[in-house]
Amino acid sequence: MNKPAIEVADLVKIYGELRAVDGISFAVDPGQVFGLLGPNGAGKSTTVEMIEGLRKPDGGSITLLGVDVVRQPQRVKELIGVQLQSTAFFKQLSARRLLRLFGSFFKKSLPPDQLIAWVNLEEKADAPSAALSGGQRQRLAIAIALVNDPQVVFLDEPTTGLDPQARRSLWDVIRRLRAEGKTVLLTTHYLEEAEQLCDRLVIIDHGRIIASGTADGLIHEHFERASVEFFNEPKLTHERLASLPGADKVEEANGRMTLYSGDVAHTTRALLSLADELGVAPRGLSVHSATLEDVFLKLTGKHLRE
Amino acid sequence: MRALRELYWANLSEFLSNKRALGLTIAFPVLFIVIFGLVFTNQDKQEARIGLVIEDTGPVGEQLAGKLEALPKEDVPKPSAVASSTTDSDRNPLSSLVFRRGEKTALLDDLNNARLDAVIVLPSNLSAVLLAGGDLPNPAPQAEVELHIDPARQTLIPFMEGVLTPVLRGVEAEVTEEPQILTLKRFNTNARELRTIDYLLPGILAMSIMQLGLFATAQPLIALRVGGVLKRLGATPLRRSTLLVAYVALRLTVALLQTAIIIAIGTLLFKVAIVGSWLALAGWLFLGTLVFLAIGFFMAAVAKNEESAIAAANVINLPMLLLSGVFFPINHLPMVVEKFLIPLIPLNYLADALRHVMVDATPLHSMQTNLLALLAWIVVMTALAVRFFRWEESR
Repeated sequence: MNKPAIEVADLVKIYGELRAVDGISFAVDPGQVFGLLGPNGAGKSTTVEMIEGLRKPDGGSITLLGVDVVRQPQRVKELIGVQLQSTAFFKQLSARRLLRLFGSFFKKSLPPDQLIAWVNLEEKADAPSAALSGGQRQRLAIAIALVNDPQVVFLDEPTTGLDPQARRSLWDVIRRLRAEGKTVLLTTHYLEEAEQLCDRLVIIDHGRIIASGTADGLIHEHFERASVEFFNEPKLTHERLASLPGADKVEEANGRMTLYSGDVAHTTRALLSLADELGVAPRGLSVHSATLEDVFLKLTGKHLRE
Repeated sequence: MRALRELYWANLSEFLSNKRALGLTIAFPVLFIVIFGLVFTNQDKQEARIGLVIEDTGPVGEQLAGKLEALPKEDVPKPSAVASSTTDSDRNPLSSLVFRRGEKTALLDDLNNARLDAVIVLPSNLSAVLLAGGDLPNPAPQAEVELHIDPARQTLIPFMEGVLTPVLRGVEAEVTEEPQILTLKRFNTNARELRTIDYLLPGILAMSIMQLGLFATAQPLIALRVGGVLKRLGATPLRRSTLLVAYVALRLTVALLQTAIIIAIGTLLFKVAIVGSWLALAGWLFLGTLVFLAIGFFMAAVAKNEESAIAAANVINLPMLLLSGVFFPINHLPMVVEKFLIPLIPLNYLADALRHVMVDATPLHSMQTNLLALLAWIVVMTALAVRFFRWEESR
């Protein structure tokens, strides 16, 4: 196995009384898209900014591509590409001009035209950056992050505030980053995004990692159960449903019945047989497996986006 | 170097798009100088008023005086070379001369009080020396015609000398064969009464520099901080010193540009004279720019956002202008204000120094107070700016 591209151990950052980051450790393999998941204020951005060399940790160690970030933050900056949360650039400068500007800060830089093409901003290459839409601005931010052809790219909530279409288009960009072999550290509070993009992820809350693994792994680890839902049907009574094989809980709300089961295949088959016997059909039948949202809810007792 | 150049360019395009900054640093001062120039130069007549003192009782004095007084009335056919180079060739350039005879002390007094532009004194030995013929001792005594004039009248001096010399030579040739007996000697008068525009120009220069610091330094920097641009730049290998140098370099360029425009308008349109050395003037302007840039950086360090920086700049701007003597001399102020407030205002020291350099070429050693006060402002403001400056919004 390769040496990790990023290795973080026992990272701590304290703001006054608040332990914003409270002993975080993880490792990111080269070429992975690694997700930092958590609600606002969980410590995601603080963690990322310490890895980028923007903030000095109050404890712990960070190694990036073999460089000790805490001791040599300037050296790290040459190696990484950064997209910060909600960055406005020099408003009057065009994408082309901004890429030239940021390129001039690095020892080596890619040609602006190549980067503009890479994020599909050709049409807006010469427009002042203030005139770009939210999605275009984020694509520009990613192009700027790639200006020094970095091995490791940090994307801090790149899709926050974007409409669904712009979000999907940005996901494509991130998938292409992965295809090019970049290591990507992505923070997000969209669980769907993490499920879609991340090879591995950690969930952070109150400055601590509360879960880590792959999206599927986390869901399976925390949920064997799934749920079966359908519209209320008088003959399918509470008692009958509760006695179905595998069913461990029945809820009735808003005209719908929800049947929780540790063995959803068995339970569903038994439910359909029962309905046949009674001569009814459960309308609006659907089966739900757990999502990261459920994992998060279970782990923290709250929804991710509140 | 490439980073510096690109950052300079980025700053320039931000500055050019900032209408407030452009207006207050360039358009506003230019408007001021033009309006004040037009208002206050109307009172300055176009003619050159010349006092004529005839101390010579002999015939030559009267002859010379007559020739001079006839100059404005002559329809002088000009040499073709000169005529082709000027546009109003049909006009006698000497018609603007107005002569008035009188006693030397009275006329010099008038000159000192700006009721005359120059005084010519025809010496008492004029006839005696010129009419002595070949009986002169060796070396021949000379008759000295005096031209009393303000050294700041930089266009009038060569004009007067150019007018007088041929007249003197002409009279000389008429009465004697000895050449070069008549000499012209210039006497500088120093008690020049300032025209309002002479007084205003240095003040407007100082004002424009102050507004560069107040309105074009803090706000754009805060915008970069609030927008997260400074933080984003911090995530690149760019050194902060490079960023700072580019930021200051652009503002020094703007200062150079605005002062050049204002001085050009003042000197070309309104004939404001710059008596002192250009180097001294540039030095004070540079120093003043640093003072107000430092104040701008301090404001950027302590202001929460762009709006509060602009508000603070407005609050500082007006009292500074009113109390600094930029637009009128500060007299008749309450004692408390004059004693405690005025000495605190940096604009005073800058405007005062610029005025001295431009109006009477005061040497540096007699402006030590100004120098020290400005240096103190630079040091204190820079120290405070460094102490309080944040590269990103606090969390």
